[in-house]
Amino acid sequence: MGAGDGQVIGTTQIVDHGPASRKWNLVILSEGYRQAELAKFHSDCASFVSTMFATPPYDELWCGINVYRIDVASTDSGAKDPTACGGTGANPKTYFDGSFCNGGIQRALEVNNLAVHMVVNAQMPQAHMIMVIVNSNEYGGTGGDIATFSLATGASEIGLHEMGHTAFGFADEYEYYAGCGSGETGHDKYTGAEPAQPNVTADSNRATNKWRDLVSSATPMPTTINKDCSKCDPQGNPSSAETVGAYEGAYYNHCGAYRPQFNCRMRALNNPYCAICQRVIRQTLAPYMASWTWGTNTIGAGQTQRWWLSWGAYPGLEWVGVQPATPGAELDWDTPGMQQNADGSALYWITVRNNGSTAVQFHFRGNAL
Amino acid sequence: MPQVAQPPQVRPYNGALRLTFQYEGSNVKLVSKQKVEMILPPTQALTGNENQTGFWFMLSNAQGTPVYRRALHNPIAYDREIFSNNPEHPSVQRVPVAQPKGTFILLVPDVQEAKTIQLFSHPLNPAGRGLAASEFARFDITSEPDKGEKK
Ligand SMILES: [Zn+2]
Repeated sequence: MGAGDGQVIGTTQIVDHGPASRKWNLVILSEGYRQAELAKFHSDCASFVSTMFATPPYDELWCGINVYRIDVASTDSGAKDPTACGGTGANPKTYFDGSFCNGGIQRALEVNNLAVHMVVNAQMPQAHMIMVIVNSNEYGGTGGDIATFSLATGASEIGLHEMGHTAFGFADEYEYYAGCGSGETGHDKYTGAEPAQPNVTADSNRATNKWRDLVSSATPMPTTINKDCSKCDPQGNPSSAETVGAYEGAYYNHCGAYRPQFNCRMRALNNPYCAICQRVIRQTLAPYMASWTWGTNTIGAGQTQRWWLSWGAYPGLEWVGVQPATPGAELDWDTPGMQQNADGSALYWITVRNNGSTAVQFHFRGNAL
Repeated sequence: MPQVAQPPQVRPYNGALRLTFQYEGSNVKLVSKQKVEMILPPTQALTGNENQTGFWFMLSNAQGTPVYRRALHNPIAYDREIFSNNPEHPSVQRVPVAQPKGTFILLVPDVQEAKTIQLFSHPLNPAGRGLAASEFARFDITSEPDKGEKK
């Protein structure tokens, strides 16, 4: 059992936006992959990274994120699958003791978190978020300090939900504890204090609600009311999916606690993060974007400008771009080339076109490595 | 209209401490402390959350003045979150854990004035959610791990 059942092979950076000391670092470890199966882990990691990159708002924050893969080879393949939960009885020897059926629940797939932390502390202590991919096609996973999930269809959603908890401090937005049809008691009405988490509240008052700046004056507050607190509110969304308000039913209670949008990944898997969760992710990752404005100019309607930036000593650039100073304004821009000289100096060209009918002020922005 | 850019400023890295804790019930031990070079998110409001529920940690100086605070999802798990891809089950739900036990990490800024880390939570059992958080553990981060608990 445990660390005797395999070995740590090493760490590889698979998304590189700069030094770990400057970026937000996600670390993904393998569990239940034999050494000969590590190539499969590499492609499973790449698949998760593609999913994450396609998930707003990580797509727009990608320049602030690094991803590292820690290859850990296990003696055997898969995860323990006890017959007590109706499993196959498989009992493989794996490095992190991955097992289904924790707490007697088949889908509760967990690993030995202490062992995972020991490996991360030794291999990649700059980790902000840790995930473990378990080499099993059976659906399962869990959260806590480390997000664990299998290879089954949709299981990577577990990683995205858990990242909401662990990395961004989100509460659960679902309006039950065990489930809407569970007959649960003690979850009828929240009467507690205001939760410190940013995405649930006991306060549906328009004047004091903590996300009131995103609530339109046309949106009723509360936005939905559960008429029968003995169960989950069966009504559909009376607003558009994007409408921010105070929807009754959240934080494990049918009534008395509110969520910001009708749906969110923190309420049910396979939904986007709501606007409040997305805002917190943006705020949390802002320090890792490390972009700078180099200059500002105005371009008239229908004009094209070509600029160059020069450095005596080229600092290394992730990107150079153009950002209109006025929200909603649009410009076309391109970086047609750069020239790096033997003495270390460099030139970088930018072409900016304004296809609109009014002049637009814009900033050059960049991100040094 | 060529322009010569100013060389970009270099953003200094921040030092951090990676603190590893182990817990059994509400008994928490600081088991390791590592210095790392990484940027941490900025502090959240240092005051104004006295009557709130949830989990947060606070870093304070020798005079007890707070210098850094972050609210987190409670890393001490008195219940586990389970998931399903079967449409007959909720995609996510919770079940109580019989014997809460585990490991968690807190990342705190490695600033000279920091002396103490305090952990705040509502009563840790699921029924305690909703009650105002209070301090339940405190560690001297300038001392060696596993000796730091004062309470
Ligand atoms: Zn949300």
